[in-house]
Amino acid sequence: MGLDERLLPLRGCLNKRKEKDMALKKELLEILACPKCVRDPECTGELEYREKEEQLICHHCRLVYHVKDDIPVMLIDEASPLT
Amino acid sequence: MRSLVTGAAGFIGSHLAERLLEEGHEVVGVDCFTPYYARSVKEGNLQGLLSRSGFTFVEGNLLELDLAALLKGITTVFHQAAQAGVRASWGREFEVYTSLNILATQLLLEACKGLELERFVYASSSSVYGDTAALPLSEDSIPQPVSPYGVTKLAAEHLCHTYAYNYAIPVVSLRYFTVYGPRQRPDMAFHRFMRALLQDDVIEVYGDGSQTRDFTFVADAVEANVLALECAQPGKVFNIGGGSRVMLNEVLDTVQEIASRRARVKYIKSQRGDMKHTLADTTRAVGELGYRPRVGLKEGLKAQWDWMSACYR
Repeated sequence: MGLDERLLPLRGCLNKRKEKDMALKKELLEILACPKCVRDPECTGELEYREKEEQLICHHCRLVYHVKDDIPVMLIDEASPLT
Repeated sequence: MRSLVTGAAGFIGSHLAERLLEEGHEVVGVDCFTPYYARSVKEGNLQGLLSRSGFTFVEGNLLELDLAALLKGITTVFHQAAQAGVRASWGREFEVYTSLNILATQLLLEACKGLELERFVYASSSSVYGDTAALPLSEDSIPQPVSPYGVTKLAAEHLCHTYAYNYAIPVVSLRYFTVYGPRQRPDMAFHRFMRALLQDDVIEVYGDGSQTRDFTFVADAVEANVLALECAQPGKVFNIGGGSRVMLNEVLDTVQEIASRRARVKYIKSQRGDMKHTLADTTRAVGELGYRPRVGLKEGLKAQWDWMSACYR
């Protein structure tokens, strides 16, 4: 049995997630920047927050970072192209 | 005080973030959920934190994130994030360890240059010592890690010193000795033992069980981090141990006593990279940080057993 299978009961013990109740906090939005822009001195990394869509958008890189369960996922590999 | 906790979804990081909130800190947590063990377990570690005011969380990798933005307004950094695991650090996987343990630390330190930080606490490890130094292990012993993991933890510790020396970043490094307690990682010995007991499985012990460790309860490790904030002379390394040397077989006896169950034990080959014995000389931490481990092994094991019993019921 693999480790992940043996952990199945552990997953079951987790509390249910809190109800979705809020947009990202202002103080959190202030410390977020596009990770792909970090190495580009001409880019500020500024993100547009679309609360309803739960998205953070970098117009420079044309990438969409997703907000899942109120957690901004700032991983380049997890971002989607802006269409 | 506004603190950044890296590895906030991990075993020690999540406990530390909770404690800092209780101390009145605002806490920014970051974690990249490396797949070393199940993401859902780390999400469970975060459960108590996500709804608390004063806590914000970002999923991201220190190698990618805009750290200057993340560090805005931060006064203290607790760098707990790392790729864990001594045994998995051999072979091709070493690249993951160099990236997440060394490169990520260097980037974080680089981003801290010029900031008005009150403290940068680095989570180091007893694995930096290796097997050659005499027990108890003192911070003055020459570190000679016996695992690639230990090499990366030591390299990052040296980087902390380098940045403290050249850029006056007020670093304190804490060398944790085998931390255990509720939320202990699933690959760690006590968790494996207790899970096997709860699932009526065979407990696999690496070696003959005569290896000894200085086991540290997680609340004591967390307390050391809080004490490190008050350290008068940053730039130092401190051993953080639990205060006693215990043989693994004795732990098995105690766990069976707590659980009121008999274990089926199978002794298997010891693993490359495992140290034979550890025992911390905590004289420096006691004298300079006022550190005193408060939780004895039996009490700590009981707390972990209660947590695991609830999780695996």
